[in-house]
Amino acid sequence: MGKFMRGVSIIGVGDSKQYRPTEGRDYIGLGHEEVLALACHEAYADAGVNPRDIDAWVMPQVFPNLCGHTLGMHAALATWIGLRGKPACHLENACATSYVALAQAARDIASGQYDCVLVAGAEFGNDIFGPADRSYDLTPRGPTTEVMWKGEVTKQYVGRMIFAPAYRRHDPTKSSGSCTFEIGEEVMRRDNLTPEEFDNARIAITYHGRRAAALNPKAYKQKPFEEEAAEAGLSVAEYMKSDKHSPWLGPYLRVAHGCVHTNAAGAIVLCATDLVEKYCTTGKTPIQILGTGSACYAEGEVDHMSRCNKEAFKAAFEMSGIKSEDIDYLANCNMYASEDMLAAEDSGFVPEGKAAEYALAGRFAFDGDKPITTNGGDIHAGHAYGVAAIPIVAEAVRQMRGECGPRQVKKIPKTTVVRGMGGSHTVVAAVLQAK
Amino acid sequence: MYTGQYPIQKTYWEALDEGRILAMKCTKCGAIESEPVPTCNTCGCLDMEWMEVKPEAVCKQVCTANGDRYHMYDGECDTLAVCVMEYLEDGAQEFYGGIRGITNANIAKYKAKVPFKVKAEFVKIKGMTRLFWVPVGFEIE
Repeated sequence: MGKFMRGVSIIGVGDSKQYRPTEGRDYIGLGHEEVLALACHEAYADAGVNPRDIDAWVMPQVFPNLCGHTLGMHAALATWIGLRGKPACHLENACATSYVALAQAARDIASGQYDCVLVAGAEFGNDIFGPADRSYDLTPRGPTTEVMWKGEVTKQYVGRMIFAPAYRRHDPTKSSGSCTFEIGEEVMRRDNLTPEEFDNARIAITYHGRRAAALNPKAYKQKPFEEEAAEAGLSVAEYMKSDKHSPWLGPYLRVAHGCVHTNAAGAIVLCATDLVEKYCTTGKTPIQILGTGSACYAEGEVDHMSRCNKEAFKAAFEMSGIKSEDIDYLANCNMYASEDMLAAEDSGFVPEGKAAEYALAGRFAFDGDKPITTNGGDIHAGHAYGVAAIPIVAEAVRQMRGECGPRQVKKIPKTTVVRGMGGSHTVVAAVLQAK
Repeated sequence: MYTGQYPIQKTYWEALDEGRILAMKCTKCGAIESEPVPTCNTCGCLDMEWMEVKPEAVCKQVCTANGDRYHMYDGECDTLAVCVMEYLEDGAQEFYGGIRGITNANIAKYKAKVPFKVKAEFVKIKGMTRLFWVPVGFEIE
């Protein structure tokens, strides 16, 4: 951890299924408290750590207002996960929240203040409490993901939260929610792609992402595109290019290429690397955090995403002492498919200008030679706002331990780069290495 | 280890509707979490089991509540004392419970009686069963 006094390792991970409670499919009758508890128990068991030995807790969450309008809700949740009395911090940084929480927990340990820290949260951003005012009795908050991605509604529901009122909220060149599309234009420009080539690349990424999600029992969307296409009486290629079944939401975004918003909980246990034997009793491979980096450029600044990416990667690589060619696996937040292309190039995982070529050849798939986000990612497995990092990081840890079963990448990764993004304004990068 | 195999808070509230108080007991150290949670906050054990608590406790401290707490009962309870209680079970820990009818005017009388036994009182307020406590052996005037 660069200039800090000691190393930090991830020793346990746990995550719930990604789901929507109001669909009545999973975790029926459970509130966010229970779902947080089951994710934490999984992480504790994964590490073999006793929760009473954990020194502190960082709780990422974007929408405490939806979880019963409780402020600083970590205090009320602590007893559910065995942390009564422990120091805790509730953190919000848009959808980068849990990535920021991971970096903060790593610093808390690397600085020497704490030996063992938990990052854990529950995000129920799609629902609000029903008339009974209880967390297990929810009602949908408003628009579905598909509707949220659309322009006018995005402005109302998402844009208002993301864009600052001073100059951006009321200036459609900077706050239309279409910055997603400007990023698409940027990728096309620098990779010299036609719109059709760009569409094909994103379709390839989306297709392979669903293949991985179909093998992930915790993913929200598990039905392979082959089945969806067959039900529509089309080939997969026809289905994924069909304006009816894969409609456009804007110039460079089809519904299928954007993330699906879910509710979920997750937990990561970290400790000082030199104390792994004390805290981790399962004998599982500890995953070191070699370095982290972050950058923030508000949406509305030109090429904000790639500037965030490059600066965050540079800082993380400098702290960890790795180079782009060391990366075996890219654990990337993909709120939309083109984000994988941008991150792959900005991290140096693939040469600049080549992301589309790699995507079309299936090289980013879990069974490709340049694997990216093999749990199905935010697009298929789900995107639970403030805890979005946890399933992405958990997948990276499991890949690095060789625990991913049918979606295990061909060569067990030694070095993984995690990239998280929130609000289109914050990117966090972290370098993980199996010890 | 809790995997979401059963609802916890819903089970608690439904038991209150039936006049039963549920808690969770640690299978390892025996500590009782009076608000049921799946993790032991005493020893860190991940295996808790349901237990039905006898609807009796000892009241160890009495304090009148300030006005804003009344809103928690939708205006249905205009006098309330927040009391430190402890169930009679082994492994029980102190918790806050409410006794209705105690005011600033009469509290001195009840403070003088501490500690005293109480029993559970299940009161339905606007469709939701609430748990209060009443003294055993004397009445609140």
